[in-house]
Amino acid sequence: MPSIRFLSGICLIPLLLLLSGCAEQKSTFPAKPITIVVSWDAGGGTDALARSIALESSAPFGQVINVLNRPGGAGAVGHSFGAMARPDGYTVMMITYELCTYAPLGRMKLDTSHFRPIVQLNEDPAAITVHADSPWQTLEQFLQHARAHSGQVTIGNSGPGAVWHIGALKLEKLANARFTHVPHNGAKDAVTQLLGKHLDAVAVSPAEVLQYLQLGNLRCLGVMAEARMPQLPETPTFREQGIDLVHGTWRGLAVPLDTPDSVVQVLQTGFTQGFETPAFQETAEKAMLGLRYRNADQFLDFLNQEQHSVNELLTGSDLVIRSGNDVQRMPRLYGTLLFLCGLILAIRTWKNFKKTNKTPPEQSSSTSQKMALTAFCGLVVYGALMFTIGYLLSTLLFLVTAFVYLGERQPGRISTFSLGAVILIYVVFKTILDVPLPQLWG
Amino acid sequence: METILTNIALGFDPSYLLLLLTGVLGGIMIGALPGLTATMGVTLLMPFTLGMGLSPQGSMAMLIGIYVGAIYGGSITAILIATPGTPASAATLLDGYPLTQRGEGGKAIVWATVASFIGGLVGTFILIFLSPQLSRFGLQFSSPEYFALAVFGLSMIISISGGDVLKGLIAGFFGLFLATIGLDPINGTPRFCFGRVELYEGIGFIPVLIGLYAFAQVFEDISQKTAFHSPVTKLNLSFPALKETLRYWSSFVRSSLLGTTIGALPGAGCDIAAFVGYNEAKRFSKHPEQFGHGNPEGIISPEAAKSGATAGAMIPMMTLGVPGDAVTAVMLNGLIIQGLQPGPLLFRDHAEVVYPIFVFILLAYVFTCVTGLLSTRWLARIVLINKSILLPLICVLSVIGAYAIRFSLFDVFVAIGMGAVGYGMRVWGFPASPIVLALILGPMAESNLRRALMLPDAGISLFFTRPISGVLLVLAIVSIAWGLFRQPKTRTRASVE
Repeated sequence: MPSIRFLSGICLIPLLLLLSGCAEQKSTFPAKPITIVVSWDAGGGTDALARSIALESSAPFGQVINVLNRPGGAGAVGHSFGAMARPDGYTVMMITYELCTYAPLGRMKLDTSHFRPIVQLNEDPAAITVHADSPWQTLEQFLQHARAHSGQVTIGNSGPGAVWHIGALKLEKLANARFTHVPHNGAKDAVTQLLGKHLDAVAVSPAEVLQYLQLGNLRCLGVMAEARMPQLPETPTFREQGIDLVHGTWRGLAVPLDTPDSVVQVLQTGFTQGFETPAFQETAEKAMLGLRYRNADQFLDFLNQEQHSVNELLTGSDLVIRSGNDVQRMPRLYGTLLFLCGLILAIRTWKNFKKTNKTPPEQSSSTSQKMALTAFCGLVVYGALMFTIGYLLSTLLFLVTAFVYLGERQPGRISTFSLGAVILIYVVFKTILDVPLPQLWG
Repeated sequence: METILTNIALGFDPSYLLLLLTGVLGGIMIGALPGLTATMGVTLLMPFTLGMGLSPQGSMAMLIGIYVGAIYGGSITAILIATPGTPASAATLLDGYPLTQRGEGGKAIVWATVASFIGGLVGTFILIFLSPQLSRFGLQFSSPEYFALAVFGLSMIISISGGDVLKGLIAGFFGLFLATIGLDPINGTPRFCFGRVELYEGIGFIPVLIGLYAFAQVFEDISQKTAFHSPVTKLNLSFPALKETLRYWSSFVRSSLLGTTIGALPGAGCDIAAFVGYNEAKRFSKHPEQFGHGNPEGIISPEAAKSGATAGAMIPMMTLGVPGDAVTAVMLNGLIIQGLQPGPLLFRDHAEVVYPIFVFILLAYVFTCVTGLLSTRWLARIVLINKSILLPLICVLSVIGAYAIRFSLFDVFVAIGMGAVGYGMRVWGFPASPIVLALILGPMAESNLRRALMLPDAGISLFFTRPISGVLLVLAIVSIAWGLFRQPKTRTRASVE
């Protein structure tokens, strides 16, 4: 069939182009796109910061900068991913305050010492916000109420152990009050609950409540900053109201510890240029992200200080996240119910078996089930191969083997479909959608 | 009035329409690929629209197109190759794939397309005219209400179990148990993680979906040699008659309204809406036993509901500045970066953005519908491809999809492992959809239950004294009781077969 041969020939052309593109390696860093890892969901403040610095820094680097979200576990998943990345400078981590908390909270052995900082970009204070219909006009009134009604006042936060939660815990300790801390899945959820008056207050950043403050739905009682925020000139700081509390998050870029000096130097220069562009400054202002620049050395000093103080805060005092004892209750309930249902099923099957006195009919013969098993093993091998010999070879190998195994005998079809699929998937995922595939080669 | 008309006319600007159409086409493709979701599509394109220097209207046109297209596109693969492209399409698969196996995949796609068009239309009209009321209703929802909604949703396990409720319950509890893996939502304590950081964020939902449906289907096809060598020969490419479609008007209306309402809740999205739509259609149907065997209503109702939910999710975003789901959260961020603050002020200060957005949403459904109907005849031919070619291709796409969702090798093996589990479940007659439902609703149920019990005045009575949660819980109890009561009848039929 000439047409198929012709087609497979056409398929080969882009493949060759693809290969020649790979061979053309530049020697200076960066020779390929850089990826910024974000340990929070798309749509949040950290994500917005990463995406705008990525956009504005691509010019100084002369490379595309991708953003990769690895959310989960209050940032634990993304941070450990970033720390374990290849130390070649192509994977840059957007580190946040929470990095300091994992070790003292006993979640995992990862802290600022596992990273080499590049630049700090941002700093945002915490704030306590209440509903506009609430009786509290000042922080003092709010705290008095909380002291009088111990444990009755609910404060929402963005997640257990996240920076705003710790801010509220600090306040609790300093003000000698006791709140009920209600963790949510992100600051937006907590703010929505406050809007519906299901909470008494939220501890989040001013940026996350700004629009409702402007609308008059919510009232900010104070910011945990050293000075008043330019966007909220009316809102006093905590210090002004007699509580010596400055607390907030910071965000910056870092690379794994073993990254070479020269690469760190290039990264610092490039991202600093990105930071200084008017476009970045403007975007940050619109998203109400507080800008704060520190270079690699300053950031390192700051991180050491911060890690030290968080360690002291979370381990050296009674300020621990109060752990409810019901963590295992739901899984235990589900497990028990699963077991009970299984038991009933076993009894039922046994009874049926006794009644009919014959084995239940086999749905499929053993040889064909063997084929399913082979397919399963083939997939496992394919998955493993993809990360050793690369996407290109493993996929080709898998497809050709599978086609032949399933009884396809025409070489024309086999080559057309396997090559066509490999190239099409590459083009759609990598070129059009810019989704990173596993490396092409091993 | 005149300014409103000018603003509406602004939405019909050809350059916006082109962006919208591009978005819709790209969205359908993203949705149809397993592992690539609407959230991912919108997130990936957001910086692109900003980088191109598009106006807020232009970038919203593109993002809305992607959103609507992707939510629809997921159903195409669900119907044709039993692989839901997005979580919201898992309910459509239940009746869509049986139709494909009968050679009527074209009809199934037409029904899905029309239903998603009507659902979207109804949703958009509610968005335009009833937004303030619905968003106030949404704000009434707190932890007890979300818990009750989750329980109500979980009560559907009984009705989507197929013949055997017990096996459905086992699958459901297995899914609920899977959903507890990871850092717990209230204290952040690791559960069943064995020190693996990959497990901290829990078992990925998409890999499980790919495993239970795509891989399990591949394994089953491979093991059933008879089905393997004789692909569908009689392909019915005729469109369903208008009369036949109109017969299901009640499903269209009910699902669209339900879907929009659920979508408007800040804590519930398209996936839940689709399952609720499916379940209610079955409950109201005169022939509930036909569900799961290619009943048109089993396609129409989840499709209309999830499409309504996409419009519904825009309601809290536009009126309160609160995202209705993950996709609108990203859109919201985009609007903010563009210097617009969604909320009541947007309607007053930026009517030139608000009205075009309404136009875009409406037209996105029109474009999706036209694209869907035009491509049906070609898409439906996919079943004519020899399975020896098709199955390996599905495998590769699924492996890449499982990888692409979080760029993790671990997820690839979760998907393959769940494929084996799913195949075993098929062999022994366990339904897979309760697992999907449990994975969607399990975390919602647990975190909201525990959050509600943290409240100072907590107690079991709290769930029943609050009106919305009380009604939902009573509905859940009724639905469980009703399902169990009706069960013996269906089981005898199942055992006769």
